Amino acid sequence: MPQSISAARIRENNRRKIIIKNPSICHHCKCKDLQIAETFCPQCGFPQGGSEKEQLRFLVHYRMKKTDIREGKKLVSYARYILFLAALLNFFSFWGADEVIFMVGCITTLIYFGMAIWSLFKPYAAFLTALIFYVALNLFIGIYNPWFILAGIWLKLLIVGTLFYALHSIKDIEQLRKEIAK
Amino acid sequence: MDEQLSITPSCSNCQQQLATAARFCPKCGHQQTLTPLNTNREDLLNFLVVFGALTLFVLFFPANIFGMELIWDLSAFGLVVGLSFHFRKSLNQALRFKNFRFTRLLLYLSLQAVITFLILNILPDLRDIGSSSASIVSRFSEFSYPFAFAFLSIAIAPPITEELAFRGLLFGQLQKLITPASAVVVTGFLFGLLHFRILGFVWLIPSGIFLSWIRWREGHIWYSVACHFLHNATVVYLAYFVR
Repeated sequence: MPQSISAARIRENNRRKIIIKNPSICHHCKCKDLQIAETFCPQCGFPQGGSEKEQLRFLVHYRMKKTDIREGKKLVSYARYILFLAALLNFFSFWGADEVIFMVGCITTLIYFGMAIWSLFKPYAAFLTALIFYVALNLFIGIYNPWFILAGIWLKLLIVGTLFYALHSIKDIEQLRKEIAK
Repeated sequence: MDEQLSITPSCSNCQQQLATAARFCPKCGHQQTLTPLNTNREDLLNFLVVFGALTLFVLFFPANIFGMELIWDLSAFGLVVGLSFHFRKSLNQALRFKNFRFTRLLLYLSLQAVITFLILNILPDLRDIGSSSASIVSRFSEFSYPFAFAFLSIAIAPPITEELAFRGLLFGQLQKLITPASAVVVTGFLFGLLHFRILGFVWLIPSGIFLSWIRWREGHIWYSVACHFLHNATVVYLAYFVR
């Protein structure tokens, strides 16, 4: 047993070792024609000429940024689901109302659905518009019926908070992608 | 023959000369040309401030009380001018009127005429909710010169104020956050939203997108001001002399 554990550990340690076979090709992004005098790769910033510690640190930070990007994308997906939920809730809240009010409800439902679909292509523009539309609509109805703002307040705060946080996440994702040069 | 100066980029951190396509400095590893995240958040905040101010004004300043129409118009104009002065750097390009072409103005006015015709004839029920011809006439009936006041309040003031607000301020702020094509759609949507006539979205949003498209194409607001004026003036004229 101890032999297999140490073999696994040896394999793990070997996997973590950075072995640069060709100094003119970046170990990280495979960019060619690196000069010997260049410490850092000009395309990805990998410390090709640096110490093993610096190289490991770069790779760890790179993986952390990739994880942050994955987490950010999950949040964007949640915001999209929230928009679909807002559309459904909106539709059912107008169900059974008179013709004109029901038409208004259908239009707002379609807008929420449209924003959710648009977020697949242009997430920032879609979530920004959806957030503004949701807040403005609630304020507008709230002027005529102030109790409307308090009805389902926790769900409303969840929707607004998720959309707002998704906007920040999208910009963070863009920034992280630029930092890892992808 | 003039010598062409070749400007070699250098690292913003250690001044090492860089290859043109280099994203990172090969000497110090500093990343080049990275827009700080704080600028994006600042742009978003500026946009929300502008839109928030306009929304609160529209929601809480009463416009339907008799005698308030011109005061409302003046207040709206004052608010928009105040915001424009604060954000004057981003508004510079939108207000410049370069390379006036009569044929282009005629083209846009023709397109607007088609849109106005469609709105007034094909969508009369939706258009009339909230601002029918009868309501325009009754709103200004107590004034000494009702047509003149209606023309000033509907055909002159709103095109200038609304175009400055939407195609000037909001479009300019949005361009910093999203692509120009998305900014055209979003500005059009917000134009429809701030009229607070949900059923009117059917014609308000496409009209808004059309005006924003002109702004994007031309780089300034003046052709869209002319188109907006044409539409509103037609509505007022029809209210008083035809219907």
